[in-house]
Amino acid sequence: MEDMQLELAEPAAAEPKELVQSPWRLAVRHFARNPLAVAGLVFIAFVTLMALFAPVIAPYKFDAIDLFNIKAPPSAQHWLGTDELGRDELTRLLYGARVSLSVGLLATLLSTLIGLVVGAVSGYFGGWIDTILMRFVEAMLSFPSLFLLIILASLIPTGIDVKAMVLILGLFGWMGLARLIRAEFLAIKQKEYAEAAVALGVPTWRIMLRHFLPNALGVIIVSMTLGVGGNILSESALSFLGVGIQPPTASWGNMLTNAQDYVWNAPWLAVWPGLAIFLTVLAFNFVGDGLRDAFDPHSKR
Amino acid sequence: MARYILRRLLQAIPLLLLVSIISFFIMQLTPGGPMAMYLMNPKVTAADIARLEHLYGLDQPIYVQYFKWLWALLHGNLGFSYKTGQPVLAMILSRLPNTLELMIAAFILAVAVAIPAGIFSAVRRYTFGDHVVTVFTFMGVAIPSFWFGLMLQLLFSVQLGWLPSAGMMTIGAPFSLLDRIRHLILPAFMLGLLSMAGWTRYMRSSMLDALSEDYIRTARAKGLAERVVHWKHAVKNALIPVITIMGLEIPSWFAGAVITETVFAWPGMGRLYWDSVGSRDYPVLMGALMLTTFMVVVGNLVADVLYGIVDPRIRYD
Amino acid sequence: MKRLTAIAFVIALLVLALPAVSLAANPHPSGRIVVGMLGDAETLNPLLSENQNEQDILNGIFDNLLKVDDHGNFLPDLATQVPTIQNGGISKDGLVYTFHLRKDVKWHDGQPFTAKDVIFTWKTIMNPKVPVVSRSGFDKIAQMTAPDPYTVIMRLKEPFAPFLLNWSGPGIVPEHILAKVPADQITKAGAFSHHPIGTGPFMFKEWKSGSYVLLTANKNYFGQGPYLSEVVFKVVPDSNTLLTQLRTHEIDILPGAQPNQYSELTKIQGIKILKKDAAIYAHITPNTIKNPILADKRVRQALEYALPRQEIVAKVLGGIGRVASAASITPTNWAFNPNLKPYPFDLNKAKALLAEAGWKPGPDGILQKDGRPLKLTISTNAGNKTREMIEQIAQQYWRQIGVDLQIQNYEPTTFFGDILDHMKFDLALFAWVSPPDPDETTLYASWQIPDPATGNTNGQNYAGYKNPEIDKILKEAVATPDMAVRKKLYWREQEILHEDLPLLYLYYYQDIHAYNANLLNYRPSGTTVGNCWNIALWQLKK
Repeated sequence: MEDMQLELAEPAAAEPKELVQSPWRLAVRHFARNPLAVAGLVFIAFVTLMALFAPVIAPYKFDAIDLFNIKAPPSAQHWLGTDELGRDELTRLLYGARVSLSVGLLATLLSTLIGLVVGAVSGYFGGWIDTILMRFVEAMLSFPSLFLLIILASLIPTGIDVKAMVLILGLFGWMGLARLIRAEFLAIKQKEYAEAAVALGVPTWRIMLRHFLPNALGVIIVSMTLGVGGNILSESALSFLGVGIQPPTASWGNMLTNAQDYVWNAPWLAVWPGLAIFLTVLAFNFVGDGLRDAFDPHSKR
Repeated sequence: MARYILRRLLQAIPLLLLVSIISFFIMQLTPGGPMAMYLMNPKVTAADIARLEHLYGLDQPIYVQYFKWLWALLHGNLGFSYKTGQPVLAMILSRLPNTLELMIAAFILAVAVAIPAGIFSAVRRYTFGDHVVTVFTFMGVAIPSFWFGLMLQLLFSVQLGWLPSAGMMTIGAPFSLLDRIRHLILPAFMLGLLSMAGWTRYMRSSMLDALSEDYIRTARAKGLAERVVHWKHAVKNALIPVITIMGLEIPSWFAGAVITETVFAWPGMGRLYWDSVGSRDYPVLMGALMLTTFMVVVGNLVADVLYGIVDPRIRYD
Repeated sequence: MKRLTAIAFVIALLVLALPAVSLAANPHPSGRIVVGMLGDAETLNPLLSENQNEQDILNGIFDNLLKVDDHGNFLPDLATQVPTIQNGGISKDGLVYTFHLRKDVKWHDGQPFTAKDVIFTWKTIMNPKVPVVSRSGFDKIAQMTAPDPYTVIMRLKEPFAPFLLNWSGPGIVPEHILAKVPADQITKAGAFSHHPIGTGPFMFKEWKSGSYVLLTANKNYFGQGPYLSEVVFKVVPDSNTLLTQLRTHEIDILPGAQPNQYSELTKIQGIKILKKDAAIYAHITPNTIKNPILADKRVRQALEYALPRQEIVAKVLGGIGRVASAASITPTNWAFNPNLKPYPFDLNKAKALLAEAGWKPGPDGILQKDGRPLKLTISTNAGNKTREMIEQIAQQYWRQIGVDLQIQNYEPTTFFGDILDHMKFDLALFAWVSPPDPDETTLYASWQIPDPATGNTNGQNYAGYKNPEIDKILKEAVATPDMAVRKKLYWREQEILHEDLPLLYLYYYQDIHAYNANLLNYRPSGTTVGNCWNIALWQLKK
């Protein structure tokens, strides 16, 4: 407890000098010194590469059914075993990463962007702008999106592809972050340095960039890491509505839901995609923590 | 404060109206109407369908149906379910207490775990303990809920035999608090798990922010005891994001706890809502949506009010 | 050995169930049985009931003039005998039905049951203010009279062979209670729908929405039994949880386990497992109107030959099911034609048929004809894992004969209520439940093709199948009450369907029932008759 207190007292004094030097280089240095963050980044890069080169790396075709070798446990031929149709689990996992990573990442980026703008505008300006935007948030939260999805799925004859799914998840997933950012602004607005800055006539956008966003970095990163995991799982929930990818395309979420029927006789079918999602989300979290530490003016390691 | 709350509640009226209009029309556009499933029944003729649609008023133009619905609503009548024929209000009221029971239990569990774990994780940042908490929280995010529920059942009901595997009460037995609590533990844990994980992360993050704030140093300078400084100022301030998220998540439990309610055979709102989606039971869906919208309003309002309580400097315009 | 005892047991039961032997109710019912159900009941009014869970519960509470057993035979229930042409119950022209009623039947509130109740039931069904969903069969009655309180005579407008089915299963409601209720209040919400009063072996006690329905023994039951003091129907909407509940003995009966749970079931102590043919068959409907490619019989036959159905049953269903021979009348039915054999899995035959139909290989291996590729789309209700697996198997195997199959699934209600009804699909994969009567006019008759253009939604001939001979057979077969004549006609119908393949038949369902080993006389029907038709005889071994 004691040394942490000491740590806190120090950086504020050192901050202005270091920031003047080169904030980006400093941040990169901070980040590189964090082993977990680096490990997380390496893992994400690795999975992304595997996903990109899945057709080259994968030992089998993703839809190659073998009815004479279903639900086989891990073996030399099939390192992670085979699924309920005898398809190679490792191959499906590699191909699944393509859908799951792009949906998880892109949808989260989109919703973060929207949430950030709406939350910042609402929190900074307050007043009637805040009232209108927050009622809009409530309307979006109450919107029966389920029905919209069912309608869309039946209207689009070719089905909804990954691009459309990113849009759907992104457009319906930003409300949480908007409320978080707004709350952050409400809290920070009252603080002395912010009030002082306003009094000194510093331009609005500079105050926002300089004081508000760095403070909101913490919640942004938590919201994004949780968002990546949430979106990967939501993608599979959507397939129940006929929205989303159709068989035989693989995604981690779909592999997981399919495994539900085989918990009794092939439990590993749930383990691999579950593990993949877990490690991915964990890696994103460590990268996020690293970024936050690197950019946070208060912290120092 | 009272005026602020009143104003917010008044703002909810146009919101409810808007949501009801959009929902009503969007539902009518959804393929496969309330009577569509009967078409699959070889014993049902087109004449039967027409007769039933007339009985339920489905043969009228959509806007007429909407205004009838609205008019009835203004008289405190949410309409009647197409599927069970019961008043929607009665159906919702028969499920609402069960849902509340589950929600409150899940909330208490999640808070009891998430807040201390988040604080611990922040204060002991990058220690072994922090990493353990981190790994557990992300397992909570990644673990499929059906799997988790099943594991809970296998462990506590099948292996240990401590708790019932599903249901809300022992059938036919007189009311007993202990019996209710025994049935409540597993589903509450399953429902609370995801939020537990999320709230822990938010708590950790904002606690880290709070611990590095200027005013903590100010407070120290004034000579207050360290412990008091931490707990009073830092925790209070760090609660803001968690409160925000709670205000958003808890309303979604009203009709969104379907998986938990299904796995543990809990007769809650989520199953009612989901079943009604399948049967296109518009009156029930509208009732549930109105309730959810209202809860969204209340959840966010409570969060906004709480901001001012944890940080009195936050003012309302 | 085991089978022999079972057969002996069944025979013993049949003898006991005979009406001539008037058996007193059991004065000392004991024990409780908990039946697991995936879905909740919506109403306990038998006239308004539309789902199978309710039918099982209602079988405990209500009776009808007749009942159908697990072999599809009629048994007398509130009537003293099953009307036939031989015993004079049915007139030779098939227009007049006479039922003689039991005189010892009392409603649960003590009032006597008479012919007035039967007539009232029919009038209520036909009352436009009462939201009864189907009046099929009841609308064929021209007149119903009761010459004395224990005789009912029904005169039909035209001969209708499946008519007796209208008077089986839970169905007769009490006139002395419902006649006092205005017709527009006889709804699912009405008081009676939640506190039903019947004549059955069990009386209604409690219904907790979404949780359970509790019935207690009717000690004044007119027939044999009941032997149990309580039966609970418990709603457990998750199939894995149902299995867990069986394991912890929180439920006694698991009706319809998933094929994947079979191995796990065999590990549970103290239960019996029963595999039962069900009157359900999976198939793929080809839309011959929307997609003319499918209108060619040879294409349909090729697709059937190229499906490894034996493997689908063995691997996807874990052996729980039977490859369908062709026609849709299932082996549970008395009109099933056992001479027809399933199309074997034969890729060469399939290729030959397609070549004969004029399809030639294109550059990418997909067959072409007049510049058009042999490209089809299959749809089913999204989220149904078994069906999604079959689609993917079809995709892989059909590619080997040069067919490009795309998968496009829909949310269940969209699929059944829109895509299927309005014939917006190429190929639709789903299952039909066969009624106990073999009449399937609505599936195959040319006048039963729904026409979205005219808004006519009558009929389930979603394949757009037209065959004058089938039309003729279907008409003749419902017009005669003579079982032997009907059987001959339906055998011929199945031969034609086997050849024409208006539907690509996949497999017949089988149900896996697991139940408390101490429970005696549990005899699920596998048909729409349900699992509780003999609930009065259920008994716990002491």
